[in-house]
Amino acid sequence: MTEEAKQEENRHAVTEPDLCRKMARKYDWRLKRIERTPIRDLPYECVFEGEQTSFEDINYDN
Amino acid sequence: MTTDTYEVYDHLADRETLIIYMTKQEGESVTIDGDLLTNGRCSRILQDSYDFRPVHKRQVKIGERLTVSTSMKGKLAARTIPTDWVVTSTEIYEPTLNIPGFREIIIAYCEQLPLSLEEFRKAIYDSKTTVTLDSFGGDEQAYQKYLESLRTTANAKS
Repeated sequence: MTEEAKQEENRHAVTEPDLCRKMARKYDWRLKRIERTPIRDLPYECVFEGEQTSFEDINYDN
Repeated sequence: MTTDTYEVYDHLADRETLIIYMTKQEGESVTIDGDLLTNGRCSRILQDSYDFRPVHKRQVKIGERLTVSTSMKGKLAARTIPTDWVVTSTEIYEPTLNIPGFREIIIAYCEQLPLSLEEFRKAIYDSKTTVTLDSFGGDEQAYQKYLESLRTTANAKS
């Protein structure tokens, strides 16, 4: 296999796709892509490169 | 002997780098599903990415494999799945205009290099999604409302 085994991703849900770019700019991150989620209140997800951040976070897991 | 270090001013350092992942071969394309604008359209562009990291950290690695994700039902979590597309070469374009939209544009050419079934299985992973005040664009009221809805849901289950 080439270099890829596990490329870590840092995922953040947002209300608007524009917020992904704002977060990337604020924290100096690389925005890999923006995806849709099935969650009504947070319909978009920013996928950043790197370890999942844990600052002041809430992991929604029901 | 002393060695002086000079910091070179980069007037575009605050601009992001646009990375366009596209097929290396002109004859290769993917079909895009979506709304009227994209539905059924064929394109050589596979993904786009925006790099806001410090300039010296911005690079696309040869061998980087493109991934996609699928949502996990009822959860803010996703399963990341590798694709066949791997970066095999890059080209960098720098702006010539005085007011550029990006610091630079990197074209990352990709070729299809399928994984074995075992490699494919190993490369799949799940990850949770984080929700913070930034998720609501700094709207404290909306964030608190969201947190309250989580508490209400949790209480209803217990």
